[in-house]
Amino acid sequence: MNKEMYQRLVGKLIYLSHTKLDIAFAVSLISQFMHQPREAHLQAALRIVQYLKGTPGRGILFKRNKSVALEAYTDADYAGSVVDRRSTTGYCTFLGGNLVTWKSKKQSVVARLSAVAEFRAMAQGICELL
Amino acid sequence: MCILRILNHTKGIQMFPPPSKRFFISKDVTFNEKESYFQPHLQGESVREEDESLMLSNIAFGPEIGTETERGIKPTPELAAGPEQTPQPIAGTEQVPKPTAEPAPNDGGKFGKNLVYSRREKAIPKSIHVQESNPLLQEVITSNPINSNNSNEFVLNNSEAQVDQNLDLPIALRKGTRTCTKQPLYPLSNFLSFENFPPTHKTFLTNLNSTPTPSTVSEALFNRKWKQAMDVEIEALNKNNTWELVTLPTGKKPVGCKWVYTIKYRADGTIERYKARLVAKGFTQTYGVDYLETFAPVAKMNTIRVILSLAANHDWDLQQFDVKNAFLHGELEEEIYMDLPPGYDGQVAVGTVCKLKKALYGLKQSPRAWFGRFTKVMTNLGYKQSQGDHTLFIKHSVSGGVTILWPIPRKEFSYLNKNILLIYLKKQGRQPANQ
Repeated sequence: MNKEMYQRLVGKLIYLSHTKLDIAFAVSLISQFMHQPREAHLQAALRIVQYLKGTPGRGILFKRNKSVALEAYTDADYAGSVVDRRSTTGYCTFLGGNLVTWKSKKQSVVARLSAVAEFRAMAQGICELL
Repeated sequence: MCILRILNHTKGIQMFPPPSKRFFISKDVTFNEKESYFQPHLQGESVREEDESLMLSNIAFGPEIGTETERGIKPTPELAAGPEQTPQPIAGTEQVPKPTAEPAPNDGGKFGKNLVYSRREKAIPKSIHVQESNPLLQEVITSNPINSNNSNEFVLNNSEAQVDQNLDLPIALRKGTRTCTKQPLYPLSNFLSFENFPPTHKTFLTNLNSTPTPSTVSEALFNRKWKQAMDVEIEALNKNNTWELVTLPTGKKPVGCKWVYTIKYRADGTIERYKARLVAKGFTQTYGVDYLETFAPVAKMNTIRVILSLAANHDWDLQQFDVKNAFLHGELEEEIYMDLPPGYDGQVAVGTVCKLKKALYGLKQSPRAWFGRFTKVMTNLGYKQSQGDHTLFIKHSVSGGVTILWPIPRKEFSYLNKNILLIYLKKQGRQPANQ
């Protein structure tokens, strides 16, 4: 098991998730084991690579829509991590019907109720930009 | 196994190994207390090794073992010569095919004679089947009458190759007979081939390394083309007013510099031009003396996407610009002295250095200097820097808004196209004056 190889691979996948949001969750999952990867984690990472190879040409399409509204969709799986029972937040923002930002992130606290507070900070960031 | 003596005047241990018949001193001593010295160890070891290699040979020809147990256990010499004999009785059964990718007679003979060292040579023909497109392998598969199911055979061969790789590990039992330097164990030609590339790509690849790039200045000065490239670069730097020649003030340390040579290729592999670039050795700079701040902002991907989305919705025009030698435009605030570029230090007096006025590639503050210069120019032109993202410059004009984004999208990008300006303007807006 080559640790550096795994870290390099995950780093490249993180870079890829700048344009490929469909692997965002999977990449966030495997990047939690950067410090001590095992064979199973490498298999998972290679599985993502397989997926990428199987689905070339996917990306974000910016097209013309009627609306100029800012929409955001958020979700959280309640205690999704089997290791420490933390939740994972996911959100994506649409500006004028086009996808602008997204994220899949494990929350830093153990949530006792499903909390989707991430949305606020992100909406603020968008407001700041415009 | 040797006689040891601990010496008082040295930190090592004096040894007398019987085979060498002389004393020597070493600190690197491993004590093996489990084995007795007086055991007739030499014969014992060789026997043990033979046993192990026999076991290993069993593993190597894993598929045959199953059939042998069906027929009953055979004495070891025959087992070692297994690959020759065993396939014949099982020719009818399809489960265990003959190992096709290797020349069987040659192999078996080696195994019978010299058990320990034959393994390396065996691995070479075996590694053939890693390459799928190898014509040799395909020939063998198609001409093999035993096996009708090709895919099945291929899988088995693969598993055999894996066993082989594992086998390489325990061979280090005895040292001193290294044969691997003669032939590469897994030659590159087995894994890499130019077969499937289009011809243009092939010529490009083969041309890539045909012209060597010089690594030192003296090498480059011999070649007229490189000399020319260096002259062009020096001329450009002079024209850009990058430095002035001064004598080095006392107490100042000059930063080193070096030439970096690259060849630019066209798509068909022919050489486009020879490129020489003067690069400052930024690693010799010290914080507080040569540089203070080095942070330079980089465009956020989110901002870029927001603007792309807006451009799509409002039908804006997008233009993309590239600033050549962007870093060379940055103005330095600090006082930096640099050594004269090697190859051009003959004409002036000793002790003369370049006092840098403009930034140079390799300096730590180059990106910051370039961004500072850019910000200044943009503000003078009436653009307002956004507070949310400092790399975004906005200007509202009467006819329409003009937005400018200054990127360097990411670190990886920044080496390729360091200095793309993305300029967005409304259709009826005027062309922005750039730089």
